[in-house]
Formats: sequence, structure tokens, C-alpha cells
Amino acid sequence: MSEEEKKDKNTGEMSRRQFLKDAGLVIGGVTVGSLAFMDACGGGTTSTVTNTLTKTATSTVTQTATAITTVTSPPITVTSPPITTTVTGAAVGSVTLNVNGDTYIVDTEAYWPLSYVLRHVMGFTGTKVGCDRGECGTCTVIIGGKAVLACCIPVAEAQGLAITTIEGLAKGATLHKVQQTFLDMQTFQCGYCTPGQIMSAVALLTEIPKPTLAQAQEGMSGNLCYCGDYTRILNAVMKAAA
Amino acid sequence: MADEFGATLKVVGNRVVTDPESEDIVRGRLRFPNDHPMAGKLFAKLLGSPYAHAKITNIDTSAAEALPGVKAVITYKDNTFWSSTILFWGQEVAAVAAVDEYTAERATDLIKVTYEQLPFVIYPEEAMQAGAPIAGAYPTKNLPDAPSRQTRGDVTQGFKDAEITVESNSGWARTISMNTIEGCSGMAWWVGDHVYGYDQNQAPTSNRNSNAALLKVAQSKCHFIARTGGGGFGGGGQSHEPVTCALLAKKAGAPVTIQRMRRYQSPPRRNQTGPKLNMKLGFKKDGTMTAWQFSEWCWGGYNAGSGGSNAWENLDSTFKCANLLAEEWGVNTNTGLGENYRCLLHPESAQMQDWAFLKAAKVLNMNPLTLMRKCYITEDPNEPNQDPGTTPVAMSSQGMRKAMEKAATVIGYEAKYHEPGAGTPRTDGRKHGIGIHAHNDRHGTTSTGRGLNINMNADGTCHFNTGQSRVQDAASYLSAIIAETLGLKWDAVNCGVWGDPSVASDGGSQAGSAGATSNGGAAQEAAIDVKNQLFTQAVTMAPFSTLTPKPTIADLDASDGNIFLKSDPTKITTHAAVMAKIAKPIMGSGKSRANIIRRPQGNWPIGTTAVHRTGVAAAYEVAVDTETGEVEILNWVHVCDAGRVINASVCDGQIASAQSHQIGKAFLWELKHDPQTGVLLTQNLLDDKLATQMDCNPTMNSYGTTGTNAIFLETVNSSGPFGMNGIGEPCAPSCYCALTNAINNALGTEIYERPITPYRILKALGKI
Repeated sequence: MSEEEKKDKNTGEMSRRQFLKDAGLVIGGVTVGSLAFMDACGGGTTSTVTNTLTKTATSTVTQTATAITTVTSPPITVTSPPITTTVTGAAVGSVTLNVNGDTYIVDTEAYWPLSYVLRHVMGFTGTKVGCDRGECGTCTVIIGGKAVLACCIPVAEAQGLAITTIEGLAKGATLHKVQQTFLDMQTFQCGYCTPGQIMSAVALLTEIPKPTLAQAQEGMSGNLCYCGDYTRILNAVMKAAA
Repeated sequence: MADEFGATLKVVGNRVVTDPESEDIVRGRLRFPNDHPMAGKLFAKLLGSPYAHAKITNIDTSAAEALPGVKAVITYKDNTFWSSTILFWGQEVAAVAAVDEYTAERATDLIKVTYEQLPFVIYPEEAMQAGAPIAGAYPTKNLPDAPSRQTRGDVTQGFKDAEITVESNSGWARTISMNTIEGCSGMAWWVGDHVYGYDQNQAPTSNRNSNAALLKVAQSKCHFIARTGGGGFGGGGQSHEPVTCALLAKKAGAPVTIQRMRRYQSPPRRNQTGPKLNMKLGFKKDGTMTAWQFSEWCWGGYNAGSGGSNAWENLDSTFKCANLLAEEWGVNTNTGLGENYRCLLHPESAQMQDWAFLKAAKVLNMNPLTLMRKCYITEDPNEPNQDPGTTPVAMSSQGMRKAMEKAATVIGYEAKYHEPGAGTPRTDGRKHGIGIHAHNDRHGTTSTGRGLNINMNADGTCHFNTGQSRVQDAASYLSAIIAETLGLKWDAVNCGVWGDPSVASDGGSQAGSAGATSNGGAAQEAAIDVKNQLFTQAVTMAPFSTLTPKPTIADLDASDGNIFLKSDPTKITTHAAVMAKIAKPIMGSGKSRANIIRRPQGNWPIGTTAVHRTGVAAAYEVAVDTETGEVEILNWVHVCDAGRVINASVCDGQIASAQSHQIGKAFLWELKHDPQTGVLLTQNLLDDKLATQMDCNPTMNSYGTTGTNAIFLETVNSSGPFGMNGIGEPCAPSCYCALTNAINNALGTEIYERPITPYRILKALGKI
């Protein structure tokens, strides 16, 4: 047991390495890229993934089997890299998701919302959840260039679609222009709705690169901000479009 | 060069200063309680009561426990914070922890609860009637035996002396639930008899203490951290989600996290106390105020207590009147517990005072601004509104009248004002209205008991650790205060720990707008502590150690990461060089200080104990369509005496936030229950309407720009660090009042129901 693992055990706190292991616990199959990511962080071997998969499959196998066969998935239009590693043992109740350019096979119930799977199965917790019923925009992700409420999409329907979360906007150390503008203009207070606001802004500017003020208002109107920071948000969107 | 009084500030007031965690926020890496990954984490869901008033006679959890994937079930029998007596719809009855949220939710449906339904009462006007069902804490009635009462002088004599008397009586304002986007969330796990977890609230230490008591563990074994606070707005003072998680975690032997379902977000402890107000004022014919009487009944849920909003405190500090009587009653109903919303000065209370003033101005044939000038307190520090016969106390910020005059000038109030309903119709046929409001707000008060520690690093940078949770923009202003005081560049200061009572305890609720002044005061004191230690080491080192006479720490100053001799700045070293040479830690600690004025004003010297106030004003112009009931905001201005502006971007955001909320309060927010069942109808963010981007003013030019919509007075005489005042909450009632005053001015008739919907406008005009 590494020192870091000892610390985890003693304190209950989570290390970065342990976090990655936990992601492996529920991700049925991972791409070469994802494995390389885990390796780069000093852990994440194939055996770890296999062991944890067994635990997951045990608890979900019966219900998942029924659910997955009833799902009519949309045509798969994956343009991301092909899956190069498939781990057996989680075939029942697994869906294939393309998130931020990587492809994952994920143990899940078919009806679980995409937001839940992203957050609690795959670890993309940058996607927040507010209302869990399509009212607040906090869980916004981008699918096919469009802003989509991840809390309203059963994960099975997201199969094969190119999903971008807040974690996938930046290119390494370089923030997306909208992210950089929100940062420069300090366009947040508590920060909870910010990822969803940014994703909606990116989708808006993808569709309308130079929106009028009214178009920007309307385009951002699906994202609630209880802190009431709408003015700064709108100013940031317009500046990012300039 | 960090001058206490702002002579040459390098960091404070600099718009470049950003939240050190900005990149984490825009990358989605800022973790809220149920974002934390942990192996084997379970997910909890709550079961709430379907009845508003009932007694649980039996509960059977066996079916839920038998559901595959369920790891633990708790009920009111396990959680001492819950009860078999149901006092409102949605009250927690049981909770389930399972391998995923959806299994947990299915399991809650399998819990069989037998209720004995009891008569209930939802609306306070019904609860106040004889024979109404007993809703809450009092055994025989829904009102306390006596109200919370404040008196000064002889109000009866004041009304006898009055030559005119005016009254303004509101209906019940059933406005808002604290339906914050992030909801209530938490996480907990056990290691032996120690409980760990993540919490989310505005008062990490007091919540840790109360949660430890509920869990029956010593506070030293209760490690709940409230790192992120989200938006509080008065509703973030209490959080018991970690207790629910901890009880489930103990049964399950695994970490448990929860995010309340939206429908269970607002009922418990998350509603604004809804007020009904009577305001009665007496005046001489020259406008001198002789009597002020304020009665408030507060719709406070199942345990309203004896008082309400304490609105009188703010109202009282706005005007001059020798005779005052303020009475507040809490009214129990079978609804969730009421809390203050965003300001102790309820916007509704301030509005009733304004409307009484407007009535008086009409009777006295005065422009309302003239009457305000006559009655509102002056700049004279010897004449804050003190009790006769007592020793006067200074008021640490007196920008209210300046703010009022500025707002009036910018909007052109005196020239544009017309009798209510008597404005010249606009060319498009809509009615013009104009309104103004000003008050002294107690928010931002510097209180004692906040704690903050600073650790200097070996490279001359530092971390601060605070018991405050990370709420709106706190990182930037705390960093700025510390950097300015220590003479560091702003980005050399970063937060190590937020909201951990074991690192830096906090004396109570940070209460949003008090965070900057109170925790900022603790930050400044800790930075002074560190600086003194650093300078003590520096004077023993080159280039200072070889000087004759040998300098003392009073001879040194610091700026931009350099430490130098005041009399000869070429004699210089750096924070990093000093830290490297001493090779041992320097730690400083600070607590917030009491309300002490920090600049001489009038007869009051530095160090005088002061009443701390933030002076604010707002003015609005509207156009009201009398055919559709639609209201358009034509022009507006907010003026706030924020004292020293520590971070202009933060202040901008607080003004915009106040406006957004008050647009919601005026036009959208309404807490609704089904009177037949007691069920909360506004359970979600569709029915419990928040303002959206479409509802808000798309432009705001403010501090540092050429516009004039948001103006900050920097009367640097307050008790906060570098002369800062609180901001945020004070701007809320000023916006609400000026806006609704303008609508009143356009229509010529008061609308006492809220929100002001097109239906209610047309109804007031007699068109429906």
C-alpha cells in the first residue's frame, strides 16, 4: 500500500490517485487515452479495472439487463477515436459514450440521466445538477454543437453522440475563449451555475458567432443564476463574441 | 506602502484582482459537497411527509431495506432532528442510502408510513383567528403572548403632537423560498468514532457544533468542512444534510452523499418570513416627524418565534424621530420555517414606510424628496438617531443622504416627479412613474468572533485558512486585504482551507454581506500579526542589521513583495529572502474586531465605538401599460456608500445581483400552497419563478466605467478593513422600494399584494 493509499485509508480523504481508481471502478471500458491518463498519475492498471468491474456488475446485473434491451438507441454517429480496449464482465447494462473526445463503455442503467452518469459514474463533476428536471440549465453539456440539458437525456440516448462537458472545453492549459472571458471578467459569484452558463454560451456563439444583445439574452435565458449575476454573464458573452 | 487609510493602495480597489480559484470555477473543478469522489460512495434520498400536519403512528421500512442495492434506511426514530409529529408538508420522515440515486428513490417509495392526519392551517391570517388549528410550538395558539417590542420616547404623545397622521397597511407578502440552484447537499463517512464530511452553509462552525450534538459526538471528532457555501441569501444558515448522511453512513459502513430533491429543497427552513405590515407616521405641517409606529406580523412557519424581521432597526437609523414604537409578532402556520431573506430590513417593510412618506408628502404638498431631506438623518456624526437622554454613539458610515442626493440628481427626480397617477402619458400611451428610496442599512456590520490564520511560505508567498465558507467572491477580497496589508502582490496570496472549523473557527453565521467586513477584519488582523513577525526577523538581517541606528519594525514598510526602510527605500530585501533565511514558519492569526471607526469624523476620534451602517439609495423610472399591465424599467440608478471598494468587480456583481433579486421579488416570486392539502405548489424552479436573463436589464455601466447606473460612494470612515462597508444586501430593499414606488407613482394606486403581476395591475386599475 502506498503512502497515499495509507492516508486515504486513515483519513477517509480522497487522493487524486484514488479518485482515478474510483473512476475505474465504474467505467467498464476505457480508451488507451484514459488508461494513459491513469498511468500518468501513477496508478490505474488493467487488473484494478477488472477487479472493480466485478463489484459493479454484481449489484446491477439483473435490472440493467432488462433495461438495456428495451432501449432504442439513436444511430451511432461516432467520429471519435475507436475503442481500443474493451474489458469484459460489464457487457450487461453498458453503454458506449463519447465524452470530450474519448470513448467509454460505462456500466449504467439505460434510463439514468446523462448528468448522473457523467457526474457519479464517470467523475465529470464539472457538470452540475440544480433542478434535475430541465428548468435551470445548470447541467448543460454540448452535443452535436447544441446546448443540451444532461438531466433530461436518458444515458442510452446519448450513445454514440459526441458529448462535450465543461472539462472538455479547454485545450490543455489554454482555456476556451468563453472560459477565459468569464475568468477575466470575474463572471461568477458562488460558481455553481457557471459551468452550465459557459456551456450555453459556447453553444450560442457556435450557432451565432456575433449575437445581438437580444439574441444573447435569449440564448442564455435557459440558465438560471440564483446569485443574479446576469448582467456580468451577458457582458462576458458579448465580449467573448467580439 | 499599504496605508490603513488608503493613501497609496496597490491591491485594494484594483479591478485586476481576481478570485484565485477562478480557473477552477470556469473549468468546473470547484467541488461542492456531493462532487467529492470516494470509493464505495452511496447516495441518499429523503422521504418527506405528504401531509402538512399529522402524527406518524407506524412506519415500515422492510420493503425498502429488501430492495437490492439498498444499504441503509433511517427514520425519525434514528434522527433526533426529525420527529413523529409532522408540522409541514415535506418534513423529513425517513432517508435511504443505496448504490445509486435511483435505487434510493425507488426505496423511499416502498417505505410504508401510517399517518394520523391533523387539522392544519397554511395562511397566517387564518392562523391568527380564534379556533384555528394549532400549527406549531405554542400549545393553545399560533401567536406569542407578547410581540417583540422596541420603544423610544412616547409614541402616543407623538401622535397627539402630530398635525397630520398617515398610515400604510400591506397585505401578506408570500414571496420566496430559498430555492438556490445548488440545493442542499452534504456528504459524510466514519473512521472509527470520528465523523468526516462535507457540508454547505454560511456558518461552518456553528453548524459543525450543532451537527456534532445531533450525532452525539464530540466536536473534536466531528470533521465537517463547509468549503463551498453556494448562494445563501439568508437561507444558508443551517444545514443538517451531513447528519442525515452520517447516520446512514454509520448503518451502511460506507460514505454517503445527498443532494436534496428539488421538491424537498424549499420546505424545510427555506422560506422567507412573509410579512404583513402596518405603518403609521405623525408629522407637523413643516414636515417634522413626531411619531413612528410599526407593526409587523411575520408568517414564520411552524416555529415563527416571537419576532420577525427586525426591520425597525434599519428603518429607525434612517430618519429622525423622538417617539417610536415597533412591534413584531411571529405567526405559526403548517409551513416550512421562515428565515430572513437577504436583509434584515425587509424590502416590504421599507416599502410601507416609503408609501406612508409618499402619502404624507402629498398631504403636506411637498415633493417627497423634500420631506425625506427634512426627516432623514444628516451627515452630522453627533446626530445619529439616538435615544434621548443617552450618550450619543457615532455612526461609522453616513453616506445615506449623499447617496439619496446622488440618486435624485442622476435620475432627475425633482423635475420628473408628479403626483401619483397624474403623469403626462407618454407618446405610446403608457403611464410614466418615478420612485426613489434611501436608507441606512445595518448589513456589513463588523462583528467579533470570525477567525482567520495566515501561514507564510518559504518562498515569500502565503496561504490563508478561514472558518468562512467560500461564498460569493470571498476569495478575491480576502486575498486583496491580506496582500495589501502584508505588502505582497495579490497573486502571492491564496486560500489554503475554507470552512474548516478545526483550522480557523468562526463565531457564527458569516451572513453574506458581513463576510467582507468581519472576515476581512480577521484577515487584516492576521496579516498585521504576520507582518510584525516578518519585520522582527528582517531587522536582524542585511541590509537593516548593519545600519546605525539600528531600525525597528516601525521603520520598515512593505510593498510588491519587498521589505524596505521607510526613510531610505534603497535599503531593501524581500519577503522571500527573509523567509528563506529564518527557515522556520511564520503563522499569524486574527479575529474580527468590533465596530471601531477608522478615520476621524466630526467630534469622533479614531477608535470610537460606532454604529455601523451602509448608506444606500436607488431611483427608478418606469412605463406602465394600462391595457396589458406590463411594466418596463426605463431608467435606474443605484448609489451605495460601500466605503472603500476592495474589489470593484465584486461590488458590480452585488448591485446586479440585488437588482435581479428584487425584479424577481417585485414581479415574479410567490410562495404558493394548496389550501386544501397544504402541499407546497411552488416546489420547483418553474413554479417558484426566478428572474432569468430575459427579465434583467441588459446593460449596467458602473464603477470604473463611464456609465452612471451603479455608483459607489467611498466614504472611507467605516469600521471595516481599509474603510470598507458591507455591500449586497443593502442594495436589495433600495431597489425593491424605488421600483415599486415608481409603479405606485405611475398608477396612482397602491398594490399591496405581491408579486405585482399584470393581473394585479389591471385589477388595481379597475379593469378586471
